[in-house]
Amino acid sequence: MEHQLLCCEVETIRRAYLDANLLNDRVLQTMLKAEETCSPSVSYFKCVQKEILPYMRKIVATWMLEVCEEQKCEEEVFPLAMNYLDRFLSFEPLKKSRLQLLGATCMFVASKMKETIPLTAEKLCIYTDNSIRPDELLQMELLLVNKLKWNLAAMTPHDFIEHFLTKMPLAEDTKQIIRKHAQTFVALCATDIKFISNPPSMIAAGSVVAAVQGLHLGNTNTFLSYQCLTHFLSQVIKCDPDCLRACQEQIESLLESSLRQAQQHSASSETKTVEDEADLSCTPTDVRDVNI
Amino acid sequence: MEARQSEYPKPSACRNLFGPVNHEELNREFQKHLQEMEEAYQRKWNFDFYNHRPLEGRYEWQAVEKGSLPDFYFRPPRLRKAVCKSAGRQSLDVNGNCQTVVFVGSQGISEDTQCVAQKTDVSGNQTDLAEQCTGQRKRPAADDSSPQNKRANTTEEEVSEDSPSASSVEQTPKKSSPRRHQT
Repeated sequence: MEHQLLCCEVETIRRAYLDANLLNDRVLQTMLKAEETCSPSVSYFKCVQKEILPYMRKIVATWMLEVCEEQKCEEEVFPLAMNYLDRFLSFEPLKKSRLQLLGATCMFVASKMKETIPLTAEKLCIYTDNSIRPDELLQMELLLVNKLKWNLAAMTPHDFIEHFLTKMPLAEDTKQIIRKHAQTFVALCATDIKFISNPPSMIAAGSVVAAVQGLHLGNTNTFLSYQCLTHFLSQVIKCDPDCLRACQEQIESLLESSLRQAQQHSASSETKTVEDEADLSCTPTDVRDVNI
Repeated sequence: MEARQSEYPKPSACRNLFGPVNHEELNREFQKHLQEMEEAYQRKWNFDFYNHRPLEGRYEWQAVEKGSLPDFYFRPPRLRKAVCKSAGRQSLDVNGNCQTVVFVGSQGISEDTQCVAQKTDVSGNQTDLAEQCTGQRKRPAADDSSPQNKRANTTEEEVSEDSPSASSVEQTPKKSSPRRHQT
C-alpha cells in the first residue's frame, strides 16, 4: 500500500480551515436543493450524442483521473470536472475527436474553482500529447462556461462527506481514514457511467457506508454498524435507506470489478499484491492507484 | 502545490485518446459558437459589444465619467506589469483568452473607459443581474490572491511558465465588469 497517498502532513499546500459555519444543517439543506440544479441528464448518450458512447466516457474519465492524480490536484477537482463534462454532453452533441479537449477543459475550469494554484492550459495540452493547443482550450473554456450558464459551483460528493463526518460522533483519526477511503470511492464512481443518475449526496453517503464496511469499523463501534449507519445517512440526505444500500452495493461491485481488471493489468507490476476482493480494508487506495 | 509546478507530465499520461483533431474545422466552429454567443448577449443586454454601442431595448445605457469609476476597471492587470513587461498587449492577445475579451466584451475596454455605460435596472431583470454579479465578484477576488501565491511559491522560470494562463485569468474579469457591475 502506498503510504504517501494517506499521509497529509507533508503537504505544503496552504488551505483554509474548515469553516464550522458552513457545516451546519442549514447549509446542508441548501446543498441538497442545489445539487438538483447542477445534475446532468441521465440519458444523454441516447438522446443527445451521436458519436460519443459510454465506453469513451470511461476512457476520457480514466485519463482525467490520471492527470489529476499526477498533478496532485485537490480531490474535488476530478468529480467536479466530470460534472462539467456530463452537463456539457447533456445538451451539446460533440465529435468523438473533441472529447479529450472537453475533458481537459473541464479539468482546467474545475481546477480554477477548487485550487490555489490551478492547472495551466499549457500543461493540460501536454497531457493530450499536444493534440490540442492552449488557445483551443481557452476557446473551449468560454464555450463550456457559457453552456453551463456559469453555474460552476456544482456540489460534489466531497462537500457532503464533510457534512456527514461533522455529524458523526467519531474520533478525528477515524474520520480521516473514512474520508480518505470514501473519497477514493467517489473518484471511482465518477469514472463509471452507472452512477450518473445518482446525486452527489447519494454517492457521498454510499461511499461513506462502503468505506466503513470495507474498513470493518462497524464491529467495534455501534454507531458505525451497518444498520445504524445506513439509517443515519439516509435520514441526513433524506432518501430511502434501501436506495442508499443499493448505491453502496453498486459501489462495492464496481470496486470489485475494477480490482479484477486491475489484477489482470498489473500482473506484471511487482508491488501490487491486491488482497482478497472481500477484504476492502486496504484496497481503495490500491484501486485508485491501479485504476489509473 | 510546489510539487505541481516542478512536476512534468509523465509520458505515460500524455496521450491522445481519440485520434487527431482537425484544428481548422475546430476553429471554424469556435468562431460560429462565439458569434452565436455574442449575438445572444447582444440581445440579452441590448448592447452592441462589437461596436461598443447601446441598442434599443429594455436596458437604458448611460455613459459615465472616467473619473467616477474605481481605478480597478482601467488599471492594467498586475501580472502584465510584473512579468510581461516588455511583451505588452500583443503577447496577451496571443493568449487566447484575450480573444474572449474581443468577442464578448468588445475591443480595448481598459483604454475605452469613457464609453463605459451604466444601465438603469429594469426590476424584472434582477435575477439575471444578480447571477451575473455574483459570478463576477468571485473572480476578481481569486485573481488577487492567486498571482501572489504563485510568486511566493515558485521560482523565477516557473512564474514565467505560468504567466500566460495566469495573466489570462486576470484578464477575464475586465472584459465585462465595467458594465455589469454598474447597476
